[in-house]
Amino acid sequence: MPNPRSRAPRRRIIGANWEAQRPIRGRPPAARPRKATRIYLTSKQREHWSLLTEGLSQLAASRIEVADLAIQCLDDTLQEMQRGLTGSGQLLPVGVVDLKSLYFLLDLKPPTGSAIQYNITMFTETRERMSVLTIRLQSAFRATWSQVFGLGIELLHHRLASQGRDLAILAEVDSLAELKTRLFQPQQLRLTMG
Amino acid sequence: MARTSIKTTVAHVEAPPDRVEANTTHLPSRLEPDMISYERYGLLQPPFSLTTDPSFMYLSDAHKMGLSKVSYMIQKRQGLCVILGAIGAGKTMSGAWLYRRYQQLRNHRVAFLEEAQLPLTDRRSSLPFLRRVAGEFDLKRPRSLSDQMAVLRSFMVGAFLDRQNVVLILDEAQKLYQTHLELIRQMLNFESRGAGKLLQVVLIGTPELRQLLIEEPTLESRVAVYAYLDALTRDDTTNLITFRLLVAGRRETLFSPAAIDDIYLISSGVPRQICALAQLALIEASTRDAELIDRPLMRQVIDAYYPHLADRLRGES
Repeated sequence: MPNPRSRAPRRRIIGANWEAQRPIRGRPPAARPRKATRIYLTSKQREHWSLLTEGLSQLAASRIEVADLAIQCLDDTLQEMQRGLTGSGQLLPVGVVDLKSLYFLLDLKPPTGSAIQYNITMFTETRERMSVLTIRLQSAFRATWSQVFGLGIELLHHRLASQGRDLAILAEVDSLAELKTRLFQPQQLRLTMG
Repeated sequence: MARTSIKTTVAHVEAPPDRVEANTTHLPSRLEPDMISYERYGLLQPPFSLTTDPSFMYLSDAHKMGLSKVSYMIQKRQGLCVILGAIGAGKTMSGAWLYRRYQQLRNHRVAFLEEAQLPLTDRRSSLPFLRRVAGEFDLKRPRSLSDQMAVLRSFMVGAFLDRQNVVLILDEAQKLYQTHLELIRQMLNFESRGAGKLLQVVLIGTPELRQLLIEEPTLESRVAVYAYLDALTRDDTTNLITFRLLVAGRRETLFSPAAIDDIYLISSGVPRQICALAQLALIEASTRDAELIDRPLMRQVIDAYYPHLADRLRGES
């Protein structure tokens, strides 16, 4: 007589396609891994974020792709800036002493007011790219994760806005790929003043 | 390294505020007899001195905007940058700040010519000016203009081949003569194709400099960026006073908000005026053993030293 306290015998797996037949619980995994990220944005950044997601939805771009585009935009700008500077070891010119200076250099208005937390889903690659940028800007002037993302949003909005009123460029392109080609074509940073 | 004209400050000024404050417990030997009254306020040195000391440079938004763009253009080898500002706006301080920053970079050769060093007496001859520039970079100074230009050119080419950027900062540039501006134009013609200018020039001056440049279109067209140093805002005035006190060794507040309001109204946000007023108020406070500089004390200082400006305070109570 079997002992009632002993464990039930383990079910034997028969057949090689058991994994395929196993019922999957929950949402199916995404083709590209993604993760929700906590970001603090000011009201102006939030407004620009909404404008961008709304505008880019015309190109069938989801919010996650807008976040990717913003970080790509920031990465591209910083790389371009570094390439232009004398001495390869320098990330930023000596006059950029804090995040505000960087905003000024890029012809952006620095953020003001308090920031509110939002959950923004990002591709894992986007997060990795953003981590690298955050580390670089953190070492320069203690920039935080949220500040870096906020700067990316502002920069993307500025780049799109500078190509026509009310983000008119979005009506001129047919796809997100075409937009990226136009945004990230090799060109010198145009800095104006006065 | 280029010989400096600025009286560079000693290293202790750059120490973080924590360290500075920690040192206040014992009397530093560098305190001079006339500064001894500052000690009771926890200050190691006069916080509102009017001398050009980049350690005390408070960067307002206008300064940040100007200096970030100018430094970007310098390091991008764009040639000529211009910094404009009214009297007392912090132009010389900005030049000294840039000078110090570039002096710390190994791949930059920098010289800073203040007004006193510019040979402004001889307006016809351009050789003294060129010789002065060469002297700042420790170069030979032959007696012929063409030889001097050749020396400078070979120096710039050599620096470029060594991956060094040569920066020349000229203060009070509105006092330069056309012959000097023409020389600057000639020097800006030294360039490497595709890699930018061999010499970066920063002209610092009052708004008259803009007019001077407009009259020299060949040079004006070469300006990569103009930076304007505006007067400070009310918040910036508070920040400047707090920052200078902090660098001098004091963390606690010393001026009441109402006193700062008065300083701002009298000075119109001009940094030099702010410092002058704050310094007078501090001296007055130390003679009276006052712990805080408040509005009544500030009013007495203004009545004593700036009676002609007291009208600006009308309506403030």
